[in-house]
Amino acid sequence: MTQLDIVEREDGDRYILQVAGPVNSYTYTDLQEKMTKAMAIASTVVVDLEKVTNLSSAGIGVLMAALDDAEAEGKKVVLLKPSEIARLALESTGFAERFPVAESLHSL
Amino acid sequence: MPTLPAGCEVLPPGGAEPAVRRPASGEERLPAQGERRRSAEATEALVASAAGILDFEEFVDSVAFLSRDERNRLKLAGGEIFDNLIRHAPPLEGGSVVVRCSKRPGTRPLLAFYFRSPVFADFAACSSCGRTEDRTVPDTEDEMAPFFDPLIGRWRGIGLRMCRNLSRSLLLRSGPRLDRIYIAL
Repeated sequence: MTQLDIVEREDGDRYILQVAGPVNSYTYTDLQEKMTKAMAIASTVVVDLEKVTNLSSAGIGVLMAALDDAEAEGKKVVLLKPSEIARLALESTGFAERFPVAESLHSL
Repeated sequence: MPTLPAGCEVLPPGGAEPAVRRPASGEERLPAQGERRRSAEATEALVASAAGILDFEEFVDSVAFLSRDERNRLKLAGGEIFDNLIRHAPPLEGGSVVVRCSKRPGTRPLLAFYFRSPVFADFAACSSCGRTEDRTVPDTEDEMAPFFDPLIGRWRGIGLRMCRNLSRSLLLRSGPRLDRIYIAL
């Protein structure tokens, strides 16, 4: 898979972004736009990373900025089921502990 | 050129460089019988553009002799290096970057980028690349910590931290005919 695919849906007061494909310097702006939209609408934004095939620093920067904004506005950003490479990428930044991670929507 | 991770090594310009082979896309060679000490290797010429990152990812995914963890690490660290090259080292001669992945039996893989940039020699010679050959130069880990830049409204330095943590060493070498960056896991 070479293109980023993001499916958006509302689930009560949660807004869910299902991300599939590579989040890299070429594709991250799509995630950025949809995160901005989601943050304006919902109090909790769930980013499903199960089908992410790459997560570069550009993508992590988007998630960190969203997390900062959420904390400032009393909102939540939760990462759902990060793929192996997404988990490795987050851990390699040293900031993995900052991100709330859930293994299922039911556990939120 | 950006500052690269502490932990990188900068070698002085080398002598005559071996010509870089530019084989067909995705070429991969596994050791033949009786060649067990030789490396398995795969090479690809990537277009030096933002879209080239997608080809780089596909290349790493296609390298059969890597484990999944090695593939993930090289995709992440190599992607950051390729992105930095595209953004900060142009014009890249020939409009391409050659990437080669190699691995000897029982060893960890090596990823190499070959290119020619008019600005790389100066960058490789600078002292802001973290650890240099002069081992008295202290690591600059603290200076390399990611930070939020309010002027541009985004985080900076995340990729450098990732490269440092995902690889065992990063080596920069500017040569008379080719510039090279090596990432060792």
